[in-house]
Amino acid sequence: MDFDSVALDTSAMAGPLEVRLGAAMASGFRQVVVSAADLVSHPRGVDEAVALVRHSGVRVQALRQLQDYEGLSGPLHQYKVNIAKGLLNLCRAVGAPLLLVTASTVAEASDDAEHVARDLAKLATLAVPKGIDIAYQAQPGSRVAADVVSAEACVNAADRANLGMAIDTGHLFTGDGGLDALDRCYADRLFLVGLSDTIAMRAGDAASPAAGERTQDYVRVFPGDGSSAEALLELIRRLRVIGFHGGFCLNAANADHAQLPAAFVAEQARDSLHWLLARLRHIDLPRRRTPRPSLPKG
Amino acid sequence: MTARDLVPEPLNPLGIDGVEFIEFVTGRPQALGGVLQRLGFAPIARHRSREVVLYRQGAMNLIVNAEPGGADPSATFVSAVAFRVRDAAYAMRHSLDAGAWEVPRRAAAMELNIPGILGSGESAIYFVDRYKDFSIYDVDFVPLPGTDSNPPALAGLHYFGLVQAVGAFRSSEWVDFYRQMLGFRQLTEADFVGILPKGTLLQSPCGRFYLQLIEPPEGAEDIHWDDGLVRIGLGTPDVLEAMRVLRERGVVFIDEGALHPGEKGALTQVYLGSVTFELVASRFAAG
Repeated sequence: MDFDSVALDTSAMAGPLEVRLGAAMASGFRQVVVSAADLVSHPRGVDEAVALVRHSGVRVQALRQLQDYEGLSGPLHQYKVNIAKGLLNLCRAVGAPLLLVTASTVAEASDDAEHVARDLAKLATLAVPKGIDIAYQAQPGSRVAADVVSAEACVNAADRANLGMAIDTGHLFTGDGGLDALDRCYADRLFLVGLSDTIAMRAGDAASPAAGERTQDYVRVFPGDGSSAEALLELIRRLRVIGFHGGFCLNAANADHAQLPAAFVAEQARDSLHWLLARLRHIDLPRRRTPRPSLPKG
Repeated sequence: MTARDLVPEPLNPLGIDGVEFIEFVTGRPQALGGVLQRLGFAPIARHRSREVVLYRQGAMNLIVNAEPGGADPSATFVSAVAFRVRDAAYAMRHSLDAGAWEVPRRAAAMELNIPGILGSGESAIYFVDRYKDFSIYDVDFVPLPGTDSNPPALAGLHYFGLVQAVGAFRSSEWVDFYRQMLGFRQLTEADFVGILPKGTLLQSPCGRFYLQLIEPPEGAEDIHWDDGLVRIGLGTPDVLEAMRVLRERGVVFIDEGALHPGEKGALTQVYLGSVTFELVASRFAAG
């Protein structure tokens, strides 16, 4: 594991895309995860946004995200297939070799794991001519893939070489089974690990006497700043043991970071990564794919 | 055609029955035509309204598409392969359901409604079901006067396969693609043929056409390596005889380094900067 192999998710920062890219680079990051929404909502249009990223000097590790795609039927399925095509084209344009897909949480999504696997296989096939990998991530609220174990079952059932898993450690250590859940996975198709820590925080009215009725919530922070620091380090060690060769990205999108200068947040991310690297100096995690630097034809 | 004929065989979901045509896109149609004629292809028909010429040799149809509009007007590359299938509409539905991208019809060389899907790079895979008692070329092409519309194959040459460049570590997903989409199967190294036995070899469900997937060599990160169809393999029952005939017509074969033409196969020099053909020992007849 080294600095250059870890991306910074630009959704952790506020401000215009160019400011966030500049902040990431100034803090030493050479890879980023970008949001499709950031590209298409750029004031000068998506083509300018794509050119901006292409010429920025940073490599795009992944594009986020396709959501509520799988398990749908009829016109809704076809609609989502078209959305997926649009995002795959955007991946190709911006040079992102990976599309992040979060599990469906809509009520219309089927709870039939075979249906979900079939849709994921179709998505992976759509991605082949575009040279894109698909990383499927568990999502709380999904009827089929609410945790990493069930998400992996869907990925394995779909059985496509360019289809794998993404793990969000923030979710893994709060709403999922933590290290035990990872141990229950084969993890041989793990493409992306989003590294973040969390701090428990109760939402609601602090003055209310019914404190017990407040819902448990978490604020997402960079690794080293939260309450699962040791578990995070142990997770990376275990990934090494099982031969993980995907990518890492840092993501700590929260309401506080959304009102701070991008440069400040990027420096926090840099410090966090230095903290990780200092404790994992001996961990060598090879990359699965070589980068795809060539521009698309046409 | 009976209802039974419309039911695909399990191991050949589309009823693939060989290749109907292969298409080149080029900005240099005269130069490419010269190369093709040296290889034994003869121009037999011209498109009614487009810069497209049909070449033929034995059972091989080859379309040279010189319509302007490509990203690189000077480029010459294999742009499409058309498979003969039992039911083109069924093949298209099957492919779209499995996750194919439909190719824009207006970009195609043929005005006839030939369904097609996106393949490697910017190439297309077409499905043709009218090839037994009907020629798809009769609709779009006008025969060139004074030409034999069925020029014989030299030395039994026939379409054997295509070589496809794929990105590093991406062969497995293309194996999945061709297996699920078209029913191709991966062969073991023991089944490899030709003089470049590397990469991954796939065989069509009809057993008569091969795809060879080649990743960039290790340590070649600086090489510009685009996905796409990079070479046509021509089968012949006698490679040495085919080489003799083709050499007489001016075809040059590479004989240097690890590449030596012989009974197993031979590789032509690179023409027009990107066009090569490979001869492969093959038991199939020219058709």
